[in-house]
Amino acid sequence: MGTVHLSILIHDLVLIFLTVLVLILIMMGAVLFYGFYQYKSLKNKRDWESVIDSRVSNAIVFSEEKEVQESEFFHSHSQEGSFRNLLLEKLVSSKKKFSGVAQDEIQRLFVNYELNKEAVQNLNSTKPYIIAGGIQEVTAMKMTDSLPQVEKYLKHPAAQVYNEAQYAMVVFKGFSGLAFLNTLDTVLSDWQQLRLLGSLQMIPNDTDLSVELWLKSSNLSVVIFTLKLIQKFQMLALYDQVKGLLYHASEKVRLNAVLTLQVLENDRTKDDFMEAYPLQPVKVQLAILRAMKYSNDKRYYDFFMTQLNNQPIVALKIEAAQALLALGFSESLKETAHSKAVSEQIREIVKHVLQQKI
Amino acid sequence: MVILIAEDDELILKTVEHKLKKEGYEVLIARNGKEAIDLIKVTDIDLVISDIMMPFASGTEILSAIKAFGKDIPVIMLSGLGQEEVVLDAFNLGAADFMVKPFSPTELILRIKRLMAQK
Repeated sequence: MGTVHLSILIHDLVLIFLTVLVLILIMMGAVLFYGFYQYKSLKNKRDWESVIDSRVSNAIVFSEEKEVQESEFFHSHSQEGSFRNLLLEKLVSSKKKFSGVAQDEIQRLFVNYELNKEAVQNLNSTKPYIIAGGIQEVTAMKMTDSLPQVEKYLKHPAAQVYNEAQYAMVVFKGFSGLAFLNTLDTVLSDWQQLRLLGSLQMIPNDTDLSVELWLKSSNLSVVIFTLKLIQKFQMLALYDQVKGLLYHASEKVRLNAVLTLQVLENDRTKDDFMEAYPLQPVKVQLAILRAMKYSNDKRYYDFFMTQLNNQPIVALKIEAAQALLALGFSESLKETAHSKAVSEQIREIVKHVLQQKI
Repeated sequence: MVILIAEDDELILKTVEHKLKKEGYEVLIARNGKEAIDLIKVTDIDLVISDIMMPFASGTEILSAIKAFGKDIPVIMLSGLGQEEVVLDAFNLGAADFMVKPFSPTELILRIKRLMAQK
């Protein structure tokens, strides 16, 4: 009986061993198959990219000559969905690399291969990253027909979608594309602000009303963006509105207001800064001192000397000393550095600032 | 006339290469900064077109290498937007000209012709 039991046990163990072995082999096979599939996809993508690059490159280089024939490989794949999507992606990125006639040629390829269908399809997707890609595509390829749909995406819940939609509106419509700021309740990131500002090349003359409205927005990022807009286009007429923001509840807005006043500088700026200065937190006071320093106005001498001698906060004393140096009062600073009438702390600060110059 | 293009973007590389060949120039290509420096060291090159940001060695490093080899080769830098500081460095190191991407290949050819005429 014992021998029979033992042989059954061994038989079971062998079966278990074989089952595990088969499972391991199946798993290894699956991993190998998946790896091979991945490799093939990557290789295909690389091959396709190379063929597409050649097609785009030929179109650009031989644009003035007769129609460039596409390769057989390109022709045979040009109706495949994934190839067409890659072609569209490459054309969009190519537009960021070339300008002038080359860009027109890229646009011509887009039209000739009727890639607008793919772009619209992407725009209608349910996945945010595909919609965002679709918006980039219709924007780069100037598909104005899609503008109403892009506009709807300004209210999309996904940041990547509404960010692209905002950018697209400005690219398509210029300054009037910024109308979404009137009701914007999400934060405009620093990066998005840069993109929007970068895409605006000019503004019409009658923009003050919209800009004033944005300066009063309860969305701080809209106020800050508007201040940067005023800086970029030197909108001098809005000086008083910007000055008012020196007393805004947000420190970040006040800091940007200082920078903007520095750009819009006029005869009143000196008095406006000096009036606002005592009421500001230290960060804003430092920004004001820097703005005064860069104004290159020697009339600030007394003010800076007062800050250096009487200001209790060291950072402000240092900034005032640096400003005096920048305005050309190095002799006066040298005297202060050796004067027994001022404190040891002030003498050290001045010596430090003078040494920095060297 | 031999022109070296140092650029890691395949499309820009191919397009500029074809455009220059079409204009009758002899073209060498390098897909990274190190390859470019190696080529400059051993080859007689009349002009270099170089991207500023590249793997292994940047456009400014290429400029420094040209100086170190004691060669007098004009370099046209290709830069992206927002690389003003690097462009200034490049000019200080002796770059002859620069173009900001997106750029026009036709304009690039005109600038090359102007530089070659000055040479």
